[in-house]
Amino acid sequence: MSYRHQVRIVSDILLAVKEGHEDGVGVAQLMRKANISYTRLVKILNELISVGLIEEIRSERSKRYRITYLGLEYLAEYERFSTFAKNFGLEI
Amino acid sequence: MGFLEFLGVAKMILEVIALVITFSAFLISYKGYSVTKRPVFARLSFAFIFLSANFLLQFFSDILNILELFSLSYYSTVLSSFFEMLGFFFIAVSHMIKVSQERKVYSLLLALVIINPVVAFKTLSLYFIFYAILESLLSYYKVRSKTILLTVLGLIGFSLNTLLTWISEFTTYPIILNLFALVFQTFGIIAFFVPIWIYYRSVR
Repeated sequence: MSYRHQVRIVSDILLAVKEGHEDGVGVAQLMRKANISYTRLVKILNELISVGLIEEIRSERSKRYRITYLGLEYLAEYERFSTFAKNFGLEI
Repeated sequence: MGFLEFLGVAKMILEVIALVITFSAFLISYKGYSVTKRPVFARLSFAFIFLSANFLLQFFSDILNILELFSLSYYSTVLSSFFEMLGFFFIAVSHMIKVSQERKVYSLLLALVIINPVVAFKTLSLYFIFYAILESLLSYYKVRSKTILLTVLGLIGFSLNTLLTWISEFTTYPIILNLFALVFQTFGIIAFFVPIWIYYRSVR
């Protein structure tokens, strides 16, 4: 199994959050989709909220997360750089 | 305009185009580094800025040749070959060149610089390009992306250009060799332009 660096983990989380569209995604779903532990996920989610890449939707029963416009921009930028590196036979 | 002059002008135009392309690749790599902080982009930034410097100095060398400042032109060529070598070294490093091989590379550098610096730097450039070709080919077999294959062909173009320029250092009449070197360089430049074009197309 290859080592996943922080930038890759963040992009995996953002992708998983993006899949939730307007309704957002719950923590359990994110843990499964991004393949990450609860403690680490919560820490990264808080960081992403603080920089405005995702937002929290609070309901009575649970907390859900939704990607922001800035988050979508970041994901698109990440994809562009990833493709650029791949075209030279390299990986981010 | 005679054939030789035409060749000279064509070479200079290609050098300017190559400078623009490699500098664009440097800007993308640098932006990639500032956004992702991944070392692969730092290495690519170094590679492309050195390749840009190489093309700029090659251009200056041709200008100095026209102005009949031959010794300055020679030093400019030596420096451009050095930057070319550094550029391809960083591309090779990006493909995870083994640290254990470095000592051999440096000792070879020392031995060759004494003979002829241009030949020495071109030889090292060739090693690095061949390494990058090999690794890029392995990536192609993994991903099967046509763009990687094009980049490999571009690297082959650059390597043939370097090889022919290297051989021309030993020949008395290198015109035909230079012509073919120019053709291969053109191919390399076009192939390297594709990933940059793909990036800018996706930005729009």
